[in-house]
Amino acid sequence: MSPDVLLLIEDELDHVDVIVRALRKAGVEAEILVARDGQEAIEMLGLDLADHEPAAPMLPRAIFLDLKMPRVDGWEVLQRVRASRRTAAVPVVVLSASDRPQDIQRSYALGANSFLLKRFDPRGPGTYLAEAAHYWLELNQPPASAAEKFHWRLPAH
Amino acid sequence: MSTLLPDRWRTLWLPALVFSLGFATALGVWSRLITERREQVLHSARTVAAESRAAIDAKLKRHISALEDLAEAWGRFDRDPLPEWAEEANRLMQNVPGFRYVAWVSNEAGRTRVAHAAGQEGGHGPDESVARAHATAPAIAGPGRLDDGSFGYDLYLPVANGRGVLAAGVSVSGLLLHPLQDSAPGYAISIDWGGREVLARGQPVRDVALDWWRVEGELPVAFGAVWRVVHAPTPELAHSMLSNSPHLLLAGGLLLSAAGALIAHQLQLARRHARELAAANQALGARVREESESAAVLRRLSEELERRVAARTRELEGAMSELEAFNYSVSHDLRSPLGAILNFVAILEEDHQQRLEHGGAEVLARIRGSTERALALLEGLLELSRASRAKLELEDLDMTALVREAFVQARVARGERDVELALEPLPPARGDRALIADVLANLFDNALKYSRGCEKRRVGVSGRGEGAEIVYAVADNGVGFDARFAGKLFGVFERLHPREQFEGTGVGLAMVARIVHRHGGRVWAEGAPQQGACFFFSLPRAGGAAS
Repeated sequence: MSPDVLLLIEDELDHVDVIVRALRKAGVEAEILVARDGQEAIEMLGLDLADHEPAAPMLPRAIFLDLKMPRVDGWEVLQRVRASRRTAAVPVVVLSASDRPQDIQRSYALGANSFLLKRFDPRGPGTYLAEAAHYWLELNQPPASAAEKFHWRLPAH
Repeated sequence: MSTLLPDRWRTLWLPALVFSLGFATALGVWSRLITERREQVLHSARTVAAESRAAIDAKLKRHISALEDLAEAWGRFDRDPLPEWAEEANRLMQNVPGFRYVAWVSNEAGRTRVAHAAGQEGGHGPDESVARAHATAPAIAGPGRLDDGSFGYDLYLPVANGRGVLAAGVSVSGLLLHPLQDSAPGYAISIDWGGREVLARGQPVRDVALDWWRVEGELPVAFGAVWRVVHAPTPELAHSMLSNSPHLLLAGGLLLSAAGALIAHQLQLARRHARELAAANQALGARVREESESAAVLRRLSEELERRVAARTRELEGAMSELEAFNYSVSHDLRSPLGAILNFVAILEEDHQQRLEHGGAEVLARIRGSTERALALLEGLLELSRASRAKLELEDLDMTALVREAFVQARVARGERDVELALEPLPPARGDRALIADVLANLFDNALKYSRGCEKRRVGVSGRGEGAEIVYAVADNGVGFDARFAGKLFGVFERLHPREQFEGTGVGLAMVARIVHRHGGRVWAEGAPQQGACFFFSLPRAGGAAS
């Protein structure tokens, strides 16, 4: 069994470093792959070609997704992920500095599983993200197998 | 039509024309009718007169020719008439009425023989000497009174054998009497012979105006004698033939002309009134046009104004959405690096603690403090922006309950218990529940903050109606402020106390002011150092129109 993969999609290197450090420090063992913008993430997930998916694409156990990124933004990535049957069931945690209600609502409408506000955690840099990673990677059971069995259908948005 | 004419004349020329034309036409028709009738009458009269004369002539000729026949018979032999002459003469007088006597006057005296018509016996016979004077040529003599008193004439015809003259007396009384018919009915006839009236029948009309109707004709009787025969209408005939219809027509024409003139005059008046009305209409129309033009100008101006307002509103909305985009940008872009600074300070402290010199940790702490303050200011700004932009959902607010709730929350948020709330029942207001709750939260937070450390801490809230609004007051017995700087209280980031003494971003009261102003209310504050502060704000009365 291949190790779990966490796909972190984040353009800010500062944030990437803090998050990776926090996860490692918290003992998250999953492999952490980083996409530096939406386009890169789509390519890594094999969602860049319509109607053609790679034979053995990477399928992460969870995705941490920044919203504001160059080229392709987080919402578009979210839409693509949910549009593909293969990745539709992957938990997506949105990370954003904006707490605008419309941003939060849109994220959930597009199929986000969680919306985390980027903030400074007085307990330690990125501690809340390590907790989130722990939850989504280890505690939460994704409906991946169920998706295959029951032909998982997307909720309308 | 000349404008020089007096106005009065202008309305009279057409009636005058109509009247003249009408009257002239009536007159023409009348005169033509009269003329035609006169011609017809005259023609008929001439015909009648001619026939009448012919009838008279025929009667005369009958006497003459009968006598001539006799004269011829008596003259056929060279001797005096036979003794039967009286028989012949009597037969003649019987056949041809009118003879009074027939006589043969011998050239020799004493041989004259006279036969009298029946009933005329004893009358005088011819004047023998006169008769003998006509022995060579036939003659007619008269008129004269006959034996019976009637008018008549004498005929003298020489007898061809030269022995004498045939004389006869003829009465004219039968000339105009036709046994079967009147040759000129309705006419008075008079016959004149050499200035003497021979015979007259009927009474002619005595009207010189009808003289034209008199028909005079000459009747050559015989032997050079000429009678003048005059036919004149009797009054009955004139009356029956000359009806008054042409005159009635003339009168009618006159009346019609007058009526036409009257109508024309009325029409002229009506036209004048119509012209005046049209002129008035035109003037009115011009005024209406002017009015509508100025109304159009007004409308254009107001449309222009509305257009400008709409344009300004669009610009403003554009600016607002730009501001919103800016806020979003700030929230994302500014918050991220600040958060990163804090994170790296924390990483430095955790991972490299042992490598920091003694003062290094303190420097890091100050970096963290400044960064945190920057973040707090940013949050305050965003909160202010949200309060400014949030849509107002107006409703009637139970301010007493709202105040109690907000106070409890503020106390819990600050973790303080030793503060008393002195709350009077408050009049309800009209406002946005969430935003007014923000106002109260900020005011109570301030009251708690600036009364910290004081004894018998107490926050009093009261409210009273003033005109269309309710003024609420939130008073504390904290440190107060210098009234000289009361105006600066509600500015963004304005502070009257050092940050070391009282924490805060300086956004809270600015937000209070912004929210109250958005409700159409006012905010102000009263206070003095160490004597507490009282913040006032006003809101519209409850019961206004629903939002």
